[in-house]
Amino acid sequence: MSQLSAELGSTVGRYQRALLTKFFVLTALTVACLFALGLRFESILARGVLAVVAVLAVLGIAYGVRLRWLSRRAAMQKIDDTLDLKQRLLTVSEFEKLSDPPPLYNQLLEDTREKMGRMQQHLPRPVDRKALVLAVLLLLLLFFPWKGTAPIQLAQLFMPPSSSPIPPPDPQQDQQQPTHPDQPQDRQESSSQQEEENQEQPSKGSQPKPQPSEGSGESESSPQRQKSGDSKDGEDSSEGSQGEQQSSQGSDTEPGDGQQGSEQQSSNQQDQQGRAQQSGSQQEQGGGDSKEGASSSEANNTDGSQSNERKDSAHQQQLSGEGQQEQSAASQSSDQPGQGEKSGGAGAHREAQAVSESSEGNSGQGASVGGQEALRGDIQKLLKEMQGELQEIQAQLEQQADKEGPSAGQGTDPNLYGDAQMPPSILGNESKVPLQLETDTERIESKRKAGGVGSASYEGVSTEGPSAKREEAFLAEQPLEETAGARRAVPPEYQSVFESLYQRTGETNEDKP
Amino acid sequence: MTKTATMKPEEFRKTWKHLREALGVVIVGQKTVVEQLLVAFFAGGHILLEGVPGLGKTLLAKSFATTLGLSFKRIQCTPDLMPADILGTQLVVEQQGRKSFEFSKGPIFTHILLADEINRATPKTQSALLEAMEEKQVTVAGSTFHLEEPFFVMATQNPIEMEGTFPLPEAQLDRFMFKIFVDYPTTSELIQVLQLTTTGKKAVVSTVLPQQSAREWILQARQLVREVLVAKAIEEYVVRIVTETRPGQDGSDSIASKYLRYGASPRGAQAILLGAKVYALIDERVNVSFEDVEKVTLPALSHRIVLSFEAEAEKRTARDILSDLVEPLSAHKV
Repeated sequence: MSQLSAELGSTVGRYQRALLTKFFVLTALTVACLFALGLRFESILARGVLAVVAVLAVLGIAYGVRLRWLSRRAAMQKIDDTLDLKQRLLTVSEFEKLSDPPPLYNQLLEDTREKMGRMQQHLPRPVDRKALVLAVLLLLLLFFPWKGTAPIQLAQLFMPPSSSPIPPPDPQQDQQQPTHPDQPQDRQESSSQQEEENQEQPSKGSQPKPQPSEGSGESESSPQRQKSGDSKDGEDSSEGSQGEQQSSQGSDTEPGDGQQGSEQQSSNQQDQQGRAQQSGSQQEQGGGDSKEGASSSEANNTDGSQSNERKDSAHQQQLSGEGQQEQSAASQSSDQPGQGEKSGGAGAHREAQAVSESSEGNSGQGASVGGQEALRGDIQKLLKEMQGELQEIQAQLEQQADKEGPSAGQGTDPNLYGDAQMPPSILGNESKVPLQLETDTERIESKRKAGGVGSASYEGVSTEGPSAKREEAFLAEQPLEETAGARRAVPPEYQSVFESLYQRTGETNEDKP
Repeated sequence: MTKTATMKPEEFRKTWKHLREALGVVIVGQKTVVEQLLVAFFAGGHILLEGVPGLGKTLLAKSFATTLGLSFKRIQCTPDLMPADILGTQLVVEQQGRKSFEFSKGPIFTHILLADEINRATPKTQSALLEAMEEKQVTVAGSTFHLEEPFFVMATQNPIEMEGTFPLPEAQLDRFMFKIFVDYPTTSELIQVLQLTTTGKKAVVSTVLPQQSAREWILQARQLVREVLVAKAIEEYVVRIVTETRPGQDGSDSIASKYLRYGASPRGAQAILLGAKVYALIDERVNVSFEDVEKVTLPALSHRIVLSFEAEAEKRTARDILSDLVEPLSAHKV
């Protein structure tokens, strides 16, 4: 067997392996696609149909592979065609068997071997266009929200069964729940309204606690998820951590007894709240993915997550012009965390949070009604302190507003533009005035900073209007036009010829008969 | 004992290229005609050029002979042309008081013979070429004279003038390897022809092969052509094409049975394979491919099949019918 035959054999082997790999890739992708599609259907009939389709598809692919499967002779023809060898391989395979090969055989052999070197490029690719299409289809089936989200179902399939199933919703919670989806809208309301809410919250202080045990984090976070990824992470971690803590720490709790479970966890939560104080600055800066920092306190949820959300949505609110005074202040404090920490207001704020959380935790331990009232009083005090802090922040903002803010388009802030500068007239007025952009504060009569400043140049432009100069007209002494009589029909050089012709007599020089 | 060609395929290709360029100086366009002419020459066949007058058939033949550096003779065929005018005749010669017959060689004793308007010659005269073309020899008055190799006959005929012509018999046609149709030049080619022929410019044909070694070189080239390798599948394909032209092979419903009276002879298969071998050498190969076979099928078989009345009535040409016959075969070559 010649070297070319060996090469041919190895090439055929490579071809067959590549074909098999392609078959497995296509089969796997097809089955995965149909499986993902089957997850979206709940009826057995539909799943059965899909199973049949899957079997048929696999059989079809196998049949296609069978059609493409090459024997040695067929492989030669295939290679001849694929590499455009023009039957070189076929001819070589015939003449190599001869004991006395023809004179041109060696040349043919060399020629064929040289061209066979390019065979590697023409082997079937395991991942071809069909496989890519199937992969895209699979991704669509996994992530397209139709009849349920398949990845979630897949995750549920592969997750261990949870010991605490979802309890029935608490009627109190049902009453309170509508307030949670409104949280983003509440943030857009005035600060006074929010303060009122803050004052009202202590009265409901004991009610938010069952939320973590109810596992209603999804419903609570659903409106917030539509925001930026940071806020989603922070909230998910803060809410999801409650569920995780419950499943890990309080896995013995009975289903539906979320309140008790939260009470059992109160001691742990207190410890976590202490750690939350340490990591409070991270939380304030948007590091909401720490479980401890976002532990199950409503105040922390409302303030910390809101501040994160505000930070992310500040620019959107600025652009929409619907931001409010309090919100802009909050965004400033979140965007410039150093300031908040330096002023100490944030520290007091965190302490307030911690105390409120601890108070909530204590209340969760089954304190008496009187104790709850005392706690409520404490919380009101803390809220008043917070109100004072807010006023300080407002005062700082007023001072900053007096200073000239960064001009638009020149800021080095990674968010491109600086925060909205509130005009003093608006800041002084604490009423609900929509947030104005910096450009809106510019006076119309003031010159803009860039472009269009200067006076028009009148160089080269005549101020005089068009004028006509009068000219005198005279008649020529002699007519300039040529008269018909003056035209000479005969050119001067032929004038003599014509003259001689005119002077010629009628006699001819012909001989008369 | 078989002779082995000492010529390399590369050398053949190089000379081929020079020949094409040299002929391209004089013959504007007509690339296929020139290519098929050269293929037939190196395959050892003869060609029949068919086309209307004024397309440069005679010029092509003369230029071709000049390029190769071979002897060239021309016969203008007319109805009164006699075989002796082509082959030669016995003359009475007086030498030393004795009179004897001496054979005076006719124009056929040359390397390249142009039989212009061959269909104007009578069948008797046409048949004078039969032996010369096939056996490369001439028999006159019981004496046989061998023609010197290479012997190449180029005949031309005018398809539109049928009055006073004698269509070539099938036996005569079968001896031509290719029947080449010379078509009208394109517009740009015609402009170039006008510039070459109506101005002071004169295209001069250069000789590619030196006269001393031309004959030897051509014989080597012809030997090389015969050494080109052919796989069995290719041979079978050629045979299938030829047998497909025979009526009654695949039933009465076949194209051949419907449109053909007679199919191609074994000479047709030889012509196809030899021509395909030359094409393989041109294409830098030493083996014949199916593509080469398909290139020469039409010129090799178009004059070898006889059309039926039905084909004539439907105004179908031999090329149309051959294309219909070969097309299904090309899908199942092996």
